[in-house]
Amino acid sequence: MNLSATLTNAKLKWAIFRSDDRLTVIALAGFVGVCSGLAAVALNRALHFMGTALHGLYHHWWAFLLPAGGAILSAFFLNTLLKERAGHGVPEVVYAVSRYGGLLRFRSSYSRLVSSCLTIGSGGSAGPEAPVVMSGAALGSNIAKYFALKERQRITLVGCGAAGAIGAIFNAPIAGLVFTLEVILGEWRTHNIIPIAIAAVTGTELSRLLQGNQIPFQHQQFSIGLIDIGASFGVVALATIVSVSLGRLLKAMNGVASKSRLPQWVRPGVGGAAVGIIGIFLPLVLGEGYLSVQDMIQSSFTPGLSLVAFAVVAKMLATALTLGWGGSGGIFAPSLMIGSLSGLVYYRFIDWLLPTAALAGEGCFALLGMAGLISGMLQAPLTAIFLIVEITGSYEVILPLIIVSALTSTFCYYIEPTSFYLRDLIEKGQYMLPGTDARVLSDLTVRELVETDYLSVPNDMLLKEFIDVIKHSHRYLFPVQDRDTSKYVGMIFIDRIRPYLFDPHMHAVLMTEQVMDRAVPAVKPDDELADVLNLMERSRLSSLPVVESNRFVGMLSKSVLLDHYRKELIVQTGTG
Amino acid sequence: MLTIEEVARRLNMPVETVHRWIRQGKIPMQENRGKYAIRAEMLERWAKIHKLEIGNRLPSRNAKPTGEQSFDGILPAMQRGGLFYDIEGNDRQDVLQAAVEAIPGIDPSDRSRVLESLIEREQLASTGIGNGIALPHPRSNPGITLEMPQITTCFLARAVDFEAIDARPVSTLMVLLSNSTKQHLAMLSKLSYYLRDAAFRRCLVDKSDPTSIFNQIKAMESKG
Repeated sequence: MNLSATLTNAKLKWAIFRSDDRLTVIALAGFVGVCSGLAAVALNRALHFMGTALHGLYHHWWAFLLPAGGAILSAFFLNTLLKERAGHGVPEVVYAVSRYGGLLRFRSSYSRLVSSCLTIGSGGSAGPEAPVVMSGAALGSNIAKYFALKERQRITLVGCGAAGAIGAIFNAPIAGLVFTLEVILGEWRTHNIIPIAIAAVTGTELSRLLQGNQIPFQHQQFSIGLIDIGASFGVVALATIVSVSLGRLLKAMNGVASKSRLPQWVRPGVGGAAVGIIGIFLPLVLGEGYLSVQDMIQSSFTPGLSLVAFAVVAKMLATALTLGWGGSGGIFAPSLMIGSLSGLVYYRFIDWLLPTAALAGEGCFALLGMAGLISGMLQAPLTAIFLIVEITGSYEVILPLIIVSALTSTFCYYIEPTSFYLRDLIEKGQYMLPGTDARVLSDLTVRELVETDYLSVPNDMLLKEFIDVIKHSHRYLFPVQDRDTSKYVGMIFIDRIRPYLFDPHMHAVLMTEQVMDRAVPAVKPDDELADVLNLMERSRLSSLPVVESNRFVGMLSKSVLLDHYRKELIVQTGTG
Repeated sequence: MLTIEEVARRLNMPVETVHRWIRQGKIPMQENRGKYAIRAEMLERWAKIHKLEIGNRLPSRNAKPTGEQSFDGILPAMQRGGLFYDIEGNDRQDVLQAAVEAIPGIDPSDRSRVLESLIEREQLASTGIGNGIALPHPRSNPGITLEMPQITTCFLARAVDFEAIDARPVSTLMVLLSNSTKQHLAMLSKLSYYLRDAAFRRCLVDKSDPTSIFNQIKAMESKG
């Protein structure tokens, strides 16, 4: 008896412990990190395989059709076979985190891996990071769903997936952690940081185990002098220009593609073929470009200044063609490639201009250019700083790195106030952080708040009959509807008709339609609550009638709204 | 520069709230010798960032509706509508028709429409308010244009049954016409207030001459 009571008690305590346990989340975080690390390795291996398999075909005259075929196949797989929304992945994850508590479909954990492998492996200019992030995030979300975790913990695990993915790809756990907090979650909270850090570490460790400790970039040492810090301001200017124009180019290309009359499935092929044609003359624009980036960091990139400058433009164009026309992949790797090319252009230009200036080296400026592009395109300066620090494995470079990252992201912010990832979401008004006024108001709908227990009265009811209605009602507002058509025609406010109520002469000669207010603004069930509140303020009414296709539905009152608003706010912020 | 009071008025918030916002550093007002002030442009920018409505655009609660003249009183309305004696007719419809014929100031082609709307209203519910008096009126403006609301008083040659609430036959019709429901309500409630006066009712039931009826109204108006 005593024993079973103790057992029940222990079970109860275990349940409470489990429901509010950080250890569970931390353990799952490690697991999610391993999973997303696996996804990253799998994609990397698959790209490698595709690269070697297709290598023999590039000398054929029809090689330029390879990227086209890959892009068409990838779009077919993503849009038709799996019926996923198009998009490169990161915005989808951010949207799921900000709007749906991190809920992602399970098929997202592999859909973009396959489609981006087809696009990039066949030569499309795009990055594998966003697909891996999406896949890690989807794995985290589904693991959280399986273990019935709470919303906050699920979001944490989604972040873990992203962190593990970035950590595994770049062999850079801190960059994974920072990228997740800066870009995916958009907030720094203590209860997030520890699980995400653990996932970043496990993801990185897994990829080190499977692929060795040197992927994809090797550690480099540079000695930074005062002149390099001065020169880094030039990198800022160049990186700002390149980031903004790359962003605009992508958007413009997307606009061109969506206006074209070609069938949906042909469009990625057009972009792919164009990339293939560029690739005939400049093969380095094809694919994600890690090999070229590696060369540039190691200062063993041979082409001269003019060719590199041309490559910057060609790579930008190829990226815009691939992604704008519907290929699958991210913007991270192209940003790295374009950034390092820009850094190289800048270094060689300075070197040509002032041959005596002893700059730190090509590799260093390639890295600074990378940092500039990442902070400019993604508005993620900290990710850029930590990524480069981890790649170089040295703190020497940190001063110019901070200058480039901070200033480039600030300047780009002035020109384009939103990051490339969030631009579409913000334009559609879909990026709203939980717990903000705009978010609460947009989540609540008129239908949730409308009170329907109002009694409609016909428009030709005599005042004395109406008084009987008032006697048996607890409301002081009455909607009036046409007796024949049942259409809503106006509202009666008891406080506004008081003089007639107490005048017996009027009881026989006044009708509801004569004492009602026709000018009360009506609300439709799918109106935005922010507009409804403005309407209330302007008309100085605390309740408004809700009318749908001329029929009265109910009343929407400020007091009910405040009630629900508060509860919604508490639920969204998870605090009292 | 705006003071705290002006800021509160523009934001349509209590002064106490603005004080609290200053204490909590939420609103960038500057202190100058114990007085807080802010530039109007700064306040506008601040309000825009915080999505607050600013200015005096909110209509005041007691704003008079413009564009429509307010009701000018029973006496002028009755003078406009006129008084008519010995209206013939044996039932409700007949006397209404005769009364509509007598109404001054409306286009002859509109009369049939006015009559129709009066009869329609009577069919819904009688406008006989008791004591031999009825106030026929249309439910809404039947499509006539009137400068101002008017009351046409018709004394019937013979009292007719009007299905009034006290079931007594009606001998006095006061036909009310107005442009809008608002004017109609103002006129009707004023008239109903006067009709509570027994002396005025007696004047009407006795079919007094216009001068004494108008004098009676003037007396009531001066009383309040």
